[in-house]
Amino acid sequence: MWKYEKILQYPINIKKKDLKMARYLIEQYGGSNGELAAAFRYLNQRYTMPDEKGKALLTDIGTEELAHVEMISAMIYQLTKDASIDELKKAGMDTNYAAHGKSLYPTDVNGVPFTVAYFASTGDPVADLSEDMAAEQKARAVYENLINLTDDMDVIGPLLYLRQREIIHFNRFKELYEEYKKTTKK
Amino acid sequence: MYSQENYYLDDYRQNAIYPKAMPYVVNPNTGMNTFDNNTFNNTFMMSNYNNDKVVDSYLGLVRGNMFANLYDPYRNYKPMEIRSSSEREELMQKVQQYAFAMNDIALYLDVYPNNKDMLNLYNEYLKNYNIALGNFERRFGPISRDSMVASTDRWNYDDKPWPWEVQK
Repeated sequence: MWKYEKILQYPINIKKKDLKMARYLIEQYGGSNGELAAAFRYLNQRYTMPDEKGKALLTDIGTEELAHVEMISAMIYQLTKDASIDELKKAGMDTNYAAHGKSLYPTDVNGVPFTVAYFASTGDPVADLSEDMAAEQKARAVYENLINLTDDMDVIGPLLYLRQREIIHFNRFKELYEEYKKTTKK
Repeated sequence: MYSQENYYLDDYRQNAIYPKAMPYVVNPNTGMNTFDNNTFNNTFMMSNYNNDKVVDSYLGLVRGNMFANLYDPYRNYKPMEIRSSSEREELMQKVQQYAFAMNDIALYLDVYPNNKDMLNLYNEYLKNYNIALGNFERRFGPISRDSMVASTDRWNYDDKPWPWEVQK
């Protein structure tokens, strides 16, 4: 089971409204290599991991990704807080407003709704882990693009943090991948 | 006092972008300042197993990475300094630091469960975490429903602020 803790993994306190940035950040909420996709990709793959190492690592990284969903959501919430209709229109968030009001709705940056097609699972631990390594690298690259799109340190700080987490996760997946490649010869 | 080869925190010390004196928390049982002094020593004395040197929990949290050999900065960006502007933020930051250290070390232990040094370090941070959590919750209320600091007189689990709100 999961327990909720009323605390972010890393502090987020954004003082400046920036609707355009919020719109870009939605990619990491509901996009193909976003945090929501990562969390459930790993939590789904853990059932077919061959040993306790794989079960533990996918459970723990999947759980951490849920905390990152909360971080990205908090950033979008703070960046759009008290936005007027005019401001929403200017930032191109008026179409989202028409359908969803001010609620958070997981899509990619172009408004394509989140889909479980993002949970790639083959049941083959070596294939799944190399998928996960690629996902972490793609998320790292997206975080770099997002950092390039802003100069607000309150936004850059958490993005640098999240980018670094992708690097750690990539390395842990890679270490397990190398081990499984040796041990799971068919 | 520390050997040169383990002096991996030099960027942290020389750049002076971080506060000189780290906020500390007083252990309510002993009245003594706990943690980072202890933890620093422990982290510095970590064996060099697999090149996996561990940084202290403040640097780990701001970087998003406890492992010196895996730290890979983006361009010339430095991690954002986390400034606590209230007692609440300061106590919360301690909880975040130790929770972060435990999480990152746990991912390591998932892959290398037999590393005794890393296990000891995990347990050290767990102790620090529990003390920091108690300090926060006694003052500002529970962060989970099954907290040791229960809602006895009234239901205070839902006291504001929620995590996604700006913490002031």
